[in-house]
Amino acid sequence: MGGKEGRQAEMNSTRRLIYLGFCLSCALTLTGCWDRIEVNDLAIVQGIALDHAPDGHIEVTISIPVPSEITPPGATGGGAQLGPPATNKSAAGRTVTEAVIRLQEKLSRRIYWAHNAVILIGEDLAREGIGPVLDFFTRNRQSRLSSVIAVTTGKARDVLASTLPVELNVPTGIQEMERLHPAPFADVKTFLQMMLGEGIEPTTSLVHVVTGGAPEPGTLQLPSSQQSERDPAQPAVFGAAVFKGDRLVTMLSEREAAGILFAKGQFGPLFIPVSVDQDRWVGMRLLRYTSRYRPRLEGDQLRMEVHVSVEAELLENKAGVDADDPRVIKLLERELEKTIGATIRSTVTKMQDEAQADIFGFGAAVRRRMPILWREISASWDEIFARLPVDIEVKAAILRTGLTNRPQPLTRGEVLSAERLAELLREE
Amino acid sequence: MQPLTLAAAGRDLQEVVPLKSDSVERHVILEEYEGLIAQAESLKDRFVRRDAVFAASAVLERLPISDDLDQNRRSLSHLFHLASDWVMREFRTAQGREGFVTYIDGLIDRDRLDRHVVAALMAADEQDFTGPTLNGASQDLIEVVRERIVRASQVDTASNLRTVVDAVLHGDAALFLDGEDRALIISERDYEKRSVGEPETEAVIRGPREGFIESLRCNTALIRRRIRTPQLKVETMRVGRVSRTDVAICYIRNLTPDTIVEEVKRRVQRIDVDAVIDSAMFEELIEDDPYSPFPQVIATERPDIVAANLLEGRLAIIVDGSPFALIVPVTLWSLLQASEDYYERFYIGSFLRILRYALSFLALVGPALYVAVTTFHQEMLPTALLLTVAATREGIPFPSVVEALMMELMFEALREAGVRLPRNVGQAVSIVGALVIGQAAVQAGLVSAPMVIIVAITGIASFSFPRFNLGISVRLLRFPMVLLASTLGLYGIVIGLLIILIHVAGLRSFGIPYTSPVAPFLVQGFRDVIFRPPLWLRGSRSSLLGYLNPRRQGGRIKAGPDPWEGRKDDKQR
Repeated sequence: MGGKEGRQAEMNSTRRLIYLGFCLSCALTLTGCWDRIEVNDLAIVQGIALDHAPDGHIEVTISIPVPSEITPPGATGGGAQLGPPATNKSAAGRTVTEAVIRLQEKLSRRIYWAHNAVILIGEDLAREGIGPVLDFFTRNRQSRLSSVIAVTTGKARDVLASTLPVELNVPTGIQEMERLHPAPFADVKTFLQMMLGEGIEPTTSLVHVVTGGAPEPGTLQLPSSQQSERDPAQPAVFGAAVFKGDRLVTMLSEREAAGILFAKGQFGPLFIPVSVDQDRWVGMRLLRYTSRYRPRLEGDQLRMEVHVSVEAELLENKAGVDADDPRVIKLLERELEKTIGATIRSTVTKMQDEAQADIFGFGAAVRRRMPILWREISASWDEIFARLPVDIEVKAAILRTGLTNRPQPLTRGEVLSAERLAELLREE
Repeated sequence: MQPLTLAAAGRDLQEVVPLKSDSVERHVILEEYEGLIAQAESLKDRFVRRDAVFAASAVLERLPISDDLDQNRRSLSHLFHLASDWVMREFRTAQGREGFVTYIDGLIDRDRLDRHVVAALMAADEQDFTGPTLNGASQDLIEVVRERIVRASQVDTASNLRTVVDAVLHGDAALFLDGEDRALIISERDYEKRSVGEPETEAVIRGPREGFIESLRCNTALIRRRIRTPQLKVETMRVGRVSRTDVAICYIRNLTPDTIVEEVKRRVQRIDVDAVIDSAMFEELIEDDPYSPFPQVIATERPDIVAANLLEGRLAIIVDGSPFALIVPVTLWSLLQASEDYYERFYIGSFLRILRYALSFLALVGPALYVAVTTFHQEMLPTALLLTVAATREGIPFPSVVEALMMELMFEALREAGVRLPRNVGQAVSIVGALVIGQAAVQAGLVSAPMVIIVAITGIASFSFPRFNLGISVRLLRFPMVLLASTLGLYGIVIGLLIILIHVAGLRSFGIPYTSPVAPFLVQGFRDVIFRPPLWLRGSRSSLLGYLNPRRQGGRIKAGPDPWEGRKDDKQR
């Protein structure tokens, strides 16, 4: 039985086990927890604003939530004296990194980029070119390519300084607004793809600071009558910034921005009014739309066909049309096609005439379809784009007319029959 | 010295024996014993000497019963000196022959013994003692008494004093007659025992409510009542130098592989301890890797679980005095399956099974994941959640890992206290304790609220293990996982999981790979690991254990219209 040898062997193996355990525990504890950082030692950057500063400097403003001011839901006995849940810090430097170092000097917690939701770029800086600035965000291990990138009219830091009472803080608010796609939306990744891709120029949305009301259609300015002193300044997302390379060249109004979205088939505006005559309107909600570019060569002439197909539903019948009549629906579909086509056309024309920036990616379509031709013309694409004949074809389908099942609209005026409607439209 | 009791008993026998060493055999044994003892005394090493003394005293167990009644009486009196529960009832038969019955009071039904043995012997007249016996032999008195007079149903003869002592200590009565060198062992066992009740640690909503009790015979009966085949073998052994505990090994012959049966028997026989108090001691002495934190047997109070496992080709070890039967060999997955999986609809059974896997993973890595994600990988959390966590962590003086360890230890303390406290106090204390510690610690700003939630969730998850022993192992492994997570983040958790995986994949339980049928992969069993298949699809047994009898049921047992009905070429039916 057992005996001396067995006991010895057992002791040896136990000793070996102890040594092993000792070594392992050393390996674990001596390394320390060098990467360990507690959540409350982090300054979680939620939004960053980049502005032009004098002497070629860059001014960086970051928005950091203050955790102690965030009352967790359901927490009892929360203090009544809550400050703003976020604070902004600004610093300038020759490079973004230098500015960030300046910022870190003012912060007791380590700046942490992984939760950065938006990168706002001031108009001035955007005109100078944002390529060098973006390098910081693409090279940084913490920063995410899914951050929204947007251009602001005026100073970007003013946007961060505005307030948005519904959301926790401004950057989250802007991020949520962008998700609703009111304007051509771009995150860092898609922006870089557009910037570096051949035959396409980048666009992104515009962020404004507004005080109540909505902008005048077709402009970027708010009517002064709608400005109210009581409404605090808050951010709003509409319009688009057009880049050529990494430089901002022009800014588009809400309606022009919609043209980009329609042409590119990106989901954007949900609601589109269609006019029957001067003061009779029908509101449509767009359900989905797709677009396809088809470049064609007619002899020596390169043409671009843009096919857009739209599905919509009747949302508002202010014109008083007989929505139960299929012929009326047909007429409205044609009218919707015209409206969308005109929107796209105006944007295309503006781009061709003013900016010569191919934000639609027509060049990319040519490159894919006709790579050999593209090799020849790519160098002079901007000029070719400016003169490119663009055929826009829109197919619209109205799928449903809403919950109201009465053939007559609820309006007081006459019910527009198909014949009357056709007449009105012809007049127009 | 307690362990030497057996040797002492041997020496006691020897002291008595020289009075009248009449038989040659007796002489030879005594000489052998004395020689061995002399050899042992000269040995230097203390442990070796002890073993030699034990070996020598084992020789004494062969000592035969003397044909002199007085000699036997003195031997026994000496042995049971001062054991006040030992009874010796002397009598004289009608024939005039002297004799005595001896037993331990309290282990025996005295009333029946009186009627069936003592009264019967005293009342028997001369004629009863004469006449041929069954095997036609001559006047073998012991045989005559056994066949004609003693009215007990279970009677044996013994010719060895050691056997007699053993039997008496196990609750039998021994009958000695003058002039006979054999004794009758009469089994009239009856001792106080708990009645069969609902198992407390393994409650079920649906299923039998019988649980094992501390009596071996009752427990084997509970199994036998579920498997009524002579192929169910119940082999008994005695283990323990002092306790001489009865151990039964149950298996179904021609189903459980013989190699495994032999291996279990070999391991049980190898056990050389002074006493087996509970089956838990057994568990540690027969499992393959006692250093492993993972249990390698199923300990269950439920006879239905034992029966089900026997039918899968496993063995059950039942230890007298323990209400827990041990089932071997086991796999990790069998430890995660509850009997109720099979008592509920198979959708529910499958759902519960998958839920249990998820919960067991959570129980292992819950706090570790929290620590790793909040201190290393903050980018993994949604922003809103990160801010909420940051808000709750604001002003907490300890790093997350300290928080986690503190709360986990507190939880373990509460659990332990809940078990130890008297039943009616225990529950109240643990509830109040949890509330006070959870609520008060958060409000005092010592611990963040998410940590309390994490600890509570993992605590609940760890109680979802159907086997308590696996649950407690996983709870133990949680602590190194938290430490790994706090030093190396998710990387550390992966390292920890890999170490556990490598260890578990290397484990074997009586030759069966612990992680089978996942690794090694067996298609047949793998399905049962993930889902609880409907009963009519549970066609065959595991190819590792049940290969001797793979088909366990008929092929077309699903209820419903017979698809073969009305077919002419139906020959199978």
